Amino acid sequence: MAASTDGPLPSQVGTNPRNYGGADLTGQTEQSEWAIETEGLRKAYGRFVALEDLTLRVAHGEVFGFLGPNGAGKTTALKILLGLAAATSGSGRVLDRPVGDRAARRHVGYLPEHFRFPDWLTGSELVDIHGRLAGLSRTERRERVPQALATVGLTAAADKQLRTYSKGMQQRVGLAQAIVHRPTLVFLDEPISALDPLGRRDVRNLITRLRDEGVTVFLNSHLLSEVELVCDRVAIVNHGRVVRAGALADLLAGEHVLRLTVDSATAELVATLRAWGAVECLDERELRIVTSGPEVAPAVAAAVVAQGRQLFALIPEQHSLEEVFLGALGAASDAEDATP
Amino acid sequence: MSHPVILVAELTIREAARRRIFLAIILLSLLYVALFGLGFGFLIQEVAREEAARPATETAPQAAMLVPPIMTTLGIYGLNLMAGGAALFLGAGTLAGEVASGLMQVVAARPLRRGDIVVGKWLGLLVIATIYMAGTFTLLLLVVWVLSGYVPPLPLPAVGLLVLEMALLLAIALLGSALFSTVTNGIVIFMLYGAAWIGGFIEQIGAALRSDLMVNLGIVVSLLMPSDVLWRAASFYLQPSWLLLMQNAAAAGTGLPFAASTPTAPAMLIWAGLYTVAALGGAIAVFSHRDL
Repeated sequence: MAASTDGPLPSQVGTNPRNYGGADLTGQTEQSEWAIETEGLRKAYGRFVALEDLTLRVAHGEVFGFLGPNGAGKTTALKILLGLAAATSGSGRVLDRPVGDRAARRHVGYLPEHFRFPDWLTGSELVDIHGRLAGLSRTERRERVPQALATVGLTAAADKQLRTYSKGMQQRVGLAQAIVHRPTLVFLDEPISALDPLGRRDVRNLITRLRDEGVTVFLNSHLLSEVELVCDRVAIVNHGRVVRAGALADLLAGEHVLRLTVDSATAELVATLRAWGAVECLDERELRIVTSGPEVAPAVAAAVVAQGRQLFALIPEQHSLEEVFLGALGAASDAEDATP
Repeated sequence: MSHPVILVAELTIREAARRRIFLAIILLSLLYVALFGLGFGFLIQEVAREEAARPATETAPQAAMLVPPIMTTLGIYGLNLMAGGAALFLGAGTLAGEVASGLMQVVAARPLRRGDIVVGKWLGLLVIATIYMAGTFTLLLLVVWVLSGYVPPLPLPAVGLLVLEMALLLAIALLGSALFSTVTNGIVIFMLYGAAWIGGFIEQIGAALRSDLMVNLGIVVSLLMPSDVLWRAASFYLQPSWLLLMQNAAAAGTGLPFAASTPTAPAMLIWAGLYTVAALGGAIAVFSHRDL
């Protein structure tokens, strides 16, 4: 299992500008290329196993999507990486330090899924307190607290009490506290599930902005369409195991399917089209061809017309993350059924 | 940058101030002292009237002399019970409650030791409890002094011991809060507190009845939960020497049932101090290894 989880290195690793302030942490001249590296992390509560085997690597500066259905072990994994929970076995390093290390946490930001902040604080008081907890000096906080609030668009509400904040505003102030100390690694646990489409777009933009600044983002989510929009790489986790991992582009690539609508799918046409791949007749007018890539589409169109058929539509079918996700979960549960 | 312990303590105090815990405490404290003053005032007047009516030849103990020290000790005793309860309430849900509500995780993910969080909470709550205890204590003695001119012999060591009792109760409440959920912890520590209170009584009555068994039972309870020990040590400093002499010279059973007429053994006080440190150390150890 573990072997298949380390997907091929994404080509974009190392192309992002790195702003890795944690290099001084180690005292070493060379930092590892991984922001997070885990090997067989396991968490059991008595007989209940929350995390079976977490083996993954997250490169510096990438947006890493950690996907899985509810109860798959996503939050448990995140808590272990943050040092909030201790792993039963296995090992891991975060920012070149053992998981849970205090010095590394100085460079880590965290937005929990079910967070609550003291609602009697104002937005700027909360962010200021978290700046202090992260070890920022008064001078640094004077500059960064308003910056963090501005980044999430809360400047106008900075001096209002959190109890007057809407759900979306609370989520944004949560993000502000997670980035106030300019972390090099940010853990976001379901940061968009509670938000409306506008709020989601704002969070997405913020994540993109963090990536542009070289920050590594570890994003827990079950909202696949959102993950598809921002992540460089993803790992799909189910029943406490990583069942699929790799660059998003590679996962989505897979097979290329062309869908054709013609006036009549004759046997002659089908035989001709087999030159480009397996052909499936959906009905007398609809055809599906599994091809080597989207570049064959013009040739396919020309062949249809050359046969004297009328072509109404030729659509390359996009593989969605949802299909990959459901496929991965299905394969995992099939394997499970097979093993007693 | 301030030390994380100071920062957590400061946040605890600020939270108490914002959530009007201080306001509630001040109002309750004023109410308590006002009620005490009213009762005390009436009692003094009543006793004075009776004394005046009594024939001068009678040589009964001077009630007018006895009322102020006994009533003061009783008043501080009531304060001690209330403050102890308040300290347990404040401490009972601190860690467990914040873990359950999701307040703790964001803080614990920051670069601070779990132990700093525990000690900071304890320190912050101790400041609140000390302000309550010392403030009400002073106010009550002021009322007694205005109404009767009486001042207990050694108020400073007395209030010091009562603050130590707050420190002990808060440490136990935090240990329980690191171990159990808020409700379970509340039940456990209030039962312990009640056991210590009854243990003190058993020891006191045992001494009066000259029952070694009862005295030893009381001592065992005091060793297990030395909160009442600190009250009794404090009560010794609240009574004038003539009252203590009178109690010790009189036949068994005439002393105040809720106060000590002899100084508490230093070993017991040292035990209470060590107990506090151990409870706090236990809270740190448990909370440091707990999943949040």
